[in-house]
Amino acid sequence: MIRINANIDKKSGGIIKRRSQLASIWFRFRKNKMAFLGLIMFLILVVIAFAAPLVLDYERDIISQNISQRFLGPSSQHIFGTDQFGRDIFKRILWGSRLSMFVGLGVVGISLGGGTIIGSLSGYYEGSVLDNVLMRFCDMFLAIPGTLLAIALVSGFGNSIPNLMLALGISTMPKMSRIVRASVLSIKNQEFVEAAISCGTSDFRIMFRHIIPNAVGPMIVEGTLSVARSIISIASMSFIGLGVQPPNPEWGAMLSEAKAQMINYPYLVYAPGIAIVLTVMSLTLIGDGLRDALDPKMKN
Amino acid sequence: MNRFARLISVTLCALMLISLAACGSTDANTGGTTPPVNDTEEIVAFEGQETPTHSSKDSLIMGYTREPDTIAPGGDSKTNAQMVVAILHDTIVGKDPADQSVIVPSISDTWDFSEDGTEITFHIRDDIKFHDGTALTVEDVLFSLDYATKQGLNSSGASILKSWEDIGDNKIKVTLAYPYKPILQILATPGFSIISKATYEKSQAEGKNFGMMENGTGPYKLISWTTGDRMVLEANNSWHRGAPAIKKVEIRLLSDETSGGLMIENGEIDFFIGMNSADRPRFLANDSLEVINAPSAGTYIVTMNLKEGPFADNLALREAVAYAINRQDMLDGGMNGVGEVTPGPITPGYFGFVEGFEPYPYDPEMAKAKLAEAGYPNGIDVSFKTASDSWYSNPAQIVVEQLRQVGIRCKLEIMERAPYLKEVQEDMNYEMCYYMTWGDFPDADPVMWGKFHSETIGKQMQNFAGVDNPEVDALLLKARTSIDDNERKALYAQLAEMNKENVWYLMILTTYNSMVINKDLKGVEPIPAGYYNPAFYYWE
Amino acid sequence: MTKFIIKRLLMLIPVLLGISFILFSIMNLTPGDAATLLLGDSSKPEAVEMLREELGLNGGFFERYFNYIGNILLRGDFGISYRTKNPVFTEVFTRFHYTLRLAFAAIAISSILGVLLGILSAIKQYTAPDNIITAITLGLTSMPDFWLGLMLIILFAVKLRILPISGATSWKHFILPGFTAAANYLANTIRMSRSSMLEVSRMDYIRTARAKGVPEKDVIFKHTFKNALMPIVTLVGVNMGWQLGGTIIIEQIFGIPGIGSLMIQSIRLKDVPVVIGCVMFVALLSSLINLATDIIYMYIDPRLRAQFAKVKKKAVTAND
Repeated sequence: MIRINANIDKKSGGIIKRRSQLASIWFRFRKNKMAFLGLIMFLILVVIAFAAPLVLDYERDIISQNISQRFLGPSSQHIFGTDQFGRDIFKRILWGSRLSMFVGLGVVGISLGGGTIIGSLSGYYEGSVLDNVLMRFCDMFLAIPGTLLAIALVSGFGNSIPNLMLALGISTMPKMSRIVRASVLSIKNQEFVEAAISCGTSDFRIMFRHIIPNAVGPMIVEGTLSVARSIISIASMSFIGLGVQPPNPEWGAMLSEAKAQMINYPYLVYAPGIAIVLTVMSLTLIGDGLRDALDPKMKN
Repeated sequence: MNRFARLISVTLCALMLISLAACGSTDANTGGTTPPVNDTEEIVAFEGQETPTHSSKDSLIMGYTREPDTIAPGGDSKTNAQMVVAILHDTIVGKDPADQSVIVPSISDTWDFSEDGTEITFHIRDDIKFHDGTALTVEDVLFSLDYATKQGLNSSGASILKSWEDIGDNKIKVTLAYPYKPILQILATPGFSIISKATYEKSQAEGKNFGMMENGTGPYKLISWTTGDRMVLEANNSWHRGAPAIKKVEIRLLSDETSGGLMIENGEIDFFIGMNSADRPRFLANDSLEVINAPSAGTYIVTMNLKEGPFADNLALREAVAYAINRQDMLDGGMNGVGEVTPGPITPGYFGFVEGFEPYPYDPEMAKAKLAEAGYPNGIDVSFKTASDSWYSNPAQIVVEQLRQVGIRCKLEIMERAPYLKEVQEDMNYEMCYYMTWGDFPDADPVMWGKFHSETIGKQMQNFAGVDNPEVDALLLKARTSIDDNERKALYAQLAEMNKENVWYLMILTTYNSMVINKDLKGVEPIPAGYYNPAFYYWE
Repeated sequence: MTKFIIKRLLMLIPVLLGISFILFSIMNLTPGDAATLLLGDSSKPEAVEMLREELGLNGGFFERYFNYIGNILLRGDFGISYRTKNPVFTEVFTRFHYTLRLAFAAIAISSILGVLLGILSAIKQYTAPDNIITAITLGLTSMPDFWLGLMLIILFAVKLRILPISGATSWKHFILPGFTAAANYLANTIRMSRSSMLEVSRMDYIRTARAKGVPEKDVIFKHTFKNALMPIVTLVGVNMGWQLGGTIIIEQIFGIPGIGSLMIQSIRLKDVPVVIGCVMFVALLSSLINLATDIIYMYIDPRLRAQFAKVKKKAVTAND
């Protein structure tokens, strides 16, 4: 379904054609109002994430406690109020965007990296023993609920950001492998691959120079949506105490701390949740928009 | 072929539906883990379980949050499980409901200590019956001691009991490894409950789970137990300490503290153990409820590794930590102010508690000076481990922040309990940690011995700081084997002082074992260990 | 067809074995064990050693794994829970009905609401109702389910006090968790029914129906909806499968003592037989449901059956 013909020309021609392809994707993307809105929301979040350390001091504003200032409701001084240790929730939310983005990208990096290798190997050698072994492994992991696998891994190996990224990365890898495999399969039988094979190009080269670059489209779409899902998973894991550790102001961790006080101070749970919803929504809109832009036929 | 395939697939679908439906319905009816002793009793079906919201005068609805794993004595270390065991069973000697330090007769009506304090002769009553109607014999008591001493939970008591035998005339003789003053307190803990030998043997012969078969002699018998829902108890009217005024007790097994709070506010339960400390102000303000505080048995401690790492052999650094800690903030911010700060190693209410003991004052400037003296004028980076429950992680976050203020930068690691126990308590692989320890009975000995004696180093949950001091060992032994109360008190005071001088353990706080009850319920006394027994309650 | 079913069933065996091995490794190669955790805070090392012996935690890794698997394969014995000493089977089945109820509540809510909203959205395409429904869908997919759960608790259990906050003792207890669990699937179901309805409504036979003057109501419900139902049925089946294993966090929030809570509790206590037992059970069940969905699907859609037969014929000729 992806337009691949553009890339098979010689290098120079290919680049010109590719740019025009990119331009047309961008054109279609921009026409999609919702996707464009998502992009703007996302850019704002990125700006916040990068600007936070310039405006705020981690030690002074984020983790510094003031026990006499606990549970102050929203006011002009503290827009979202203060938490159980007397810290300003607004500042912590701003800082939290860094964590969610960073861990979210890390998770997708791991699952996309692993998924690409597994998926392309198994797709390229379709029907071989390797393909069968890899896919049965994926089946096994897919049969274990993802949350559960992540919980088992993190609770066993210890709570830390790298472990969390690894656990979520591994638990989403099988699905990613499946997607990559499917798109590799659809490309493998195209003429230009057959041409490369008949020229005696090595398998490795075919895979990395011809097939994977052409499968990038669906991978980007899936990657974007996957970042959105990962941010939710990270928050869920932190919420049950197996994710990002305090005093780091990760949104799920903030909700986890707020839960015990929820009845008495409900304002504690509003802001972090809304932050998650907005972030995830922006990524979902972008992902959906990209899918439509890459493949206009798919729309509706 | 086609018809055959259709047949198979239709059967398959039907089978699945049936099995799904079957799972749903059978479990709703039998409630799964009903104890076999009473398995004729049908538990109310799922739909009809809206029970009356007001207790009549002879029934009580209790709520608590952590369901027992088993009701076998000594099988589950959770306080709530122990409480149920204590309601269903008796011990050789009992405790006075109003004052837990007073030992009263129970299965045994009289007992004598030998001259040197190492032998006790108990006379066992012959008029006591198990819930199934069989009579309790000396053999059952001896068997119960066999059973109890094999339970891990009882191991500190078990190491003191050397042997026990039938000496005829309905008497048993218990021999101790050394004279030990609080032995009767140990024998009165639920872990040493008296069980029926016949029931145990029956469970083994039939391959059943003894932990689900109730047959004690206690004030209540278990009628039904629906996992995740409730336990129903009925009064044993022939209980030897008098028929309980409350005839029916329902224990609701609640999923979390918050819902328990709402339920008692709505009058759905009368008695709630394990409240969320954040909800306490609401209960205090409520006229129809009463909050009862018992000092909990547990003391929360900041510990530094004395065996290796920066704190070993660096007293000034440990003193810096001691001066940097603000206990009151930890209590207010981490525990919502429910509890007391504890200066010394012995919990208030325990034998050996030192009145008027002063800890290091909170003095950040002094802490900074000590830190420089210790050789770290620019501060130091250490790791700080604690377990993931909020009652550990919240105060730990506060103390970590307090330490950071003076330049001790801790990397906080909040760990799951399994790896925490392994790494910190067993392998002593940590620099600083925050944890709670508790004593089974209100005496200084188990806590002090475990915390300070060199023989308990590196054994899990015991002396995990690594206090290794021959003088301390000698004092502990002297205090353990002395039968003079004043001497014991003086020895423990001396040990508390030594702990302060050397900054081995920094005791921070104890919480209240708070519960909230309907204010018309009377006879409820605060009990430090939390083994509440409705046999002594009545409605007004 | 029969071959297909048997093959699918046989394929389950290596998957289940694999699951057991993966989990057994994770649970056993990470620090800490059940004996230490079960004995609580003041236990003696000798007692821990005794319990380890009793629970069979002392052998080598492979020895223990093969013992475990051997017991399952030879005797159908899934072991006993370290925590309660009950057979794993009992443990799983005393908890399962809670999860099942939650799953049914969630599926019922998401299917009924989802299909209705999806149809509404499709027949009012590009108007205000469609936009509102699309916005709701977007909101639901972007919302972490646990947060939605907390919001519902604050509103219905704390502010209005009309529904219980947690527990699982009456049908009222399943309303909030059911809705929370339904939220994600609801979004999927709405999307799927909307696009499916739109797709079918472009078909020639619908145009024909309209042209010959069939009332609009009948066009929508008799012609379009009936034909749009297929993908929705699959989705419900797939959801059901996921629902059984995927409500762990919701069970935690609403205090439902189902399989999810049991799994978390057992993971934390390192109660290995229960963890593996639960996961195998959930995996088996969701695979069976998926299989059943495929079969139902084939019977609903004659086209697919034909296609299936064709594929099979092709495969047979290829094999020759």
